[in-house]
Amino acid sequence: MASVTFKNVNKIYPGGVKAVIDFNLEIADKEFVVLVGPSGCGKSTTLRMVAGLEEITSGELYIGDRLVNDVPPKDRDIAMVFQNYALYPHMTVYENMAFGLKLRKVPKAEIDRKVREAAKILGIEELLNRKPKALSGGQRQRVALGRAIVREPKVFLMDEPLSNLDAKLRVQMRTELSKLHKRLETTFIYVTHDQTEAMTMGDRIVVMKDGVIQQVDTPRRIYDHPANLFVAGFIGSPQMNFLKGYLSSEGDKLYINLAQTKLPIPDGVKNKIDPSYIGKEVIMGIRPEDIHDEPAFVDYFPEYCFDANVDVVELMGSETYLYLNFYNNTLTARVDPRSNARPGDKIRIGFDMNKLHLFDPVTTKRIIE
Amino acid sequence: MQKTIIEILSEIKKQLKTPFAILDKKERYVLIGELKEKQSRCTVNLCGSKYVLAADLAPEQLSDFSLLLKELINRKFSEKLIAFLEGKGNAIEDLPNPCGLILVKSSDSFKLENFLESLFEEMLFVKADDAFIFIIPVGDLDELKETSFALYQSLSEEISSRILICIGGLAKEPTELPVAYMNAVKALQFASPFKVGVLNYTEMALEKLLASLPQESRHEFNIEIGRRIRGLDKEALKTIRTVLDCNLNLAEAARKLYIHRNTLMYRLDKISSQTGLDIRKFKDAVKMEIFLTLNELR
Repeated sequence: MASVTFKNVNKIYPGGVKAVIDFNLEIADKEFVVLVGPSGCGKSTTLRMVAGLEEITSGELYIGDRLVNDVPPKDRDIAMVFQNYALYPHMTVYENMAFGLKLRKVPKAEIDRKVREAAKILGIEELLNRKPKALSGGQRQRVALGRAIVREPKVFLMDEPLSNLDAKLRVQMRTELSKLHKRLETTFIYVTHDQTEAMTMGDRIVVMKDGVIQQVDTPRRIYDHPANLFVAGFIGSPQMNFLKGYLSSEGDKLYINLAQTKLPIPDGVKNKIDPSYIGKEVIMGIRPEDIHDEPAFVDYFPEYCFDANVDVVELMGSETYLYLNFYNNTLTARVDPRSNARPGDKIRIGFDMNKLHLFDPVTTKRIIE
Repeated sequence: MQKTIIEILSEIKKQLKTPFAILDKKERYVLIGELKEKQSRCTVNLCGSKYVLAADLAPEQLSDFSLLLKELINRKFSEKLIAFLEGKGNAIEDLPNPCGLILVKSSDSFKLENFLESLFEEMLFVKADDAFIFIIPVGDLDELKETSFALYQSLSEEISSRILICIGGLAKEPTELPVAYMNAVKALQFASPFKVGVLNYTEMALEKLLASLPQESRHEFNIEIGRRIRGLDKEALKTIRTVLDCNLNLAEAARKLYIHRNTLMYRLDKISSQTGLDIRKFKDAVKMEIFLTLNELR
C-alpha cells in the first residue's frame, strides 16, 4: 500500500505533442482515484507513466516516498489491469494467475496460497483448471484482475478494465471492483471515459481535458460544484443546461436576465456570487433535475417560472426527459414520469434557483462559491 | 528440434577439449561423451528446451562450462535459424509443428531467458538485428494473436516500457516459416518508430497496398488531401480519427469523444465545409483513412 504523488509532471511526445501538462496530484494510501475525461485527454498516458510504460518528460513521480521516474515497471510494485485483458491461451487460469509470481521466483507453496486466495475473492475457484478459451468475458476479466491481485502490489492501475464487457456485466463488475477495493485496502488508480463509473466508484475524481487537470474532488462536490464549464458539461447525464445571460441588481435584489425572462436569485445564492459580475454577461447552468414542471413547484415559486415549448418527450421508465424550446435554446428537464407534458405543448416550468451554477463566459470558470 | 541441437553439439564437441554428455529431460543420452563414473550434472536450457549436461568437472566449473556451452549453441543455432528464415541456409525441419512466428522489438535492451522459461515450455527465440524472433508452438492464428497480446502485456509490465510485437503468421510446416518471418519483418518496417502494441501483418492489407505504390503517387495523394485538411485543428483531426476507428458509428464516436451526438454532427459539418470531405460518406471516409494510414507508415 502506498501513496502516489505527481509533482509538475509533463509528458511531451517526440514531435511536440503535449499529452499531459503540469500534472500535480497527491493520491493518498488506500484511496480509489478515478481519472476521467474524453478520448485523448491524457488520462491513460498519466496511468502509463505511473506504471512506467511511458517516460516522464519532466517533473517527479513518487510511489510512497520513493522517486520512481527512472525505476523500471517491474520494480515499481504496481499491477496493471489493461482494457484488453489478454491471457495466455496455452495456460490454465491457475497458470495465468501464477505466472508473475513464478517469474519472481516465489516459492511454489506461496504461489498456490496466493492464487487460491485471489480466486476465492473473485469467485473463480472452480475455473482454475480451465483454459481461457472456455471462459466468458466477465470470467476472463476476473482472471486478469486475479493476476494483478496475487502480486499484492502497492498500487493497482486499471485502464478502462470494464469497457470490453456488455452493459449488464459492466454494472455488476463495477460493484465488485468497489467491494474489492474495500477488501484489499490498496491504492487504486482507475481510468475511464465513463462518468457513471467515475461517479460510482471513486473516492475522488480527477477530471482531465487536453492533458490538463480541470478539477479534483469527491464525486458529490464535482457534481454540485463543477469548477468550470467543461466539468459542468462533462459530469452528469443528461448534461447540464447552459444559457447565456447577464446579472442585474435592483435595490438589494439580484437577477439573472435570460432572453426575455428575468429570474430573481435567492439571497442565499446571491451572497456566494462575486459582486464584480453584476451588470456583466455570465453563463448560467442548471441541471435537468433542477427544472420543474410539477404544479406544486410552479404554484410555490411563481417568480422562478416561465413558459417553454415541449419539443420531445422521452419516457425512460423511472423518469421522463423533456426537451424544451426556450427562446431558441434547448433545455433538457428530468421530470416525474407522471408529467402530462406532450410534444407541442406550451408548459409552465421553473428553475430551482438555489441549485444555480454561474460561469464566466471568457475564462469558463465558476463564479459562484 | 533435438536433431538440429545434436548436430550443433557434435560440431562443438570436436572443438572443445572438455569431455561432456547431454541427456534429455528423462535422463536418456542424446549425446554420448567419454566420462568418468563420478561426473557432475546440471540442467541447461538449449534453444528453449531443457537438457541435462554431464561433465568431468567440479560443480563450480560445470556451471561456467554450461554457460559457455549454452552461449555457443545458442549462437550457432541463431545463425542457422536466421539463415533458414532469410532463405539463405538449409531448412531446419525439426521445429515445433505447427507454430507461429512473431518479432519482438523493444526500445530498451533486455534479457529474456528467465522470463520465457517461466512462460513457455517449448519455444524458440533468437536475436536478429534489432528485434527478437519468437517461434511459438500454437494451434491456430487466433491462439498466436492472443499469445502475442498477452506477451505484449507481460513484457510491458515486467521487462520494458516500449514493446512492439509484429505477428508474421502461422506455419503449418517449418518450410512455411521463412514466409512468416518476411511478413513480420515487413510489418516491422511499416511501423512508425514510436509504435507500440501488436501488429498483425495478415491484417495490414491497406498498409501493404499503400507501401507498394510508387513514391510519386503517394506524394501526389498526400499533397491533394493534405492541402484540404491543412487548416484543421487538433480537435478536428482527433474527431476524424475517432469516427474512422468507430467504423463511422457516430453514436459510438460521440461516446468516445464524450460529446453530444449533435456536437459531433456539427464538427463533421464544419470539417466537411472546410475540406470538402464528409467522412460520413463512405468514399470520403476511405480517402481520409488512406491519407491517415499513409502518414502513419514509416
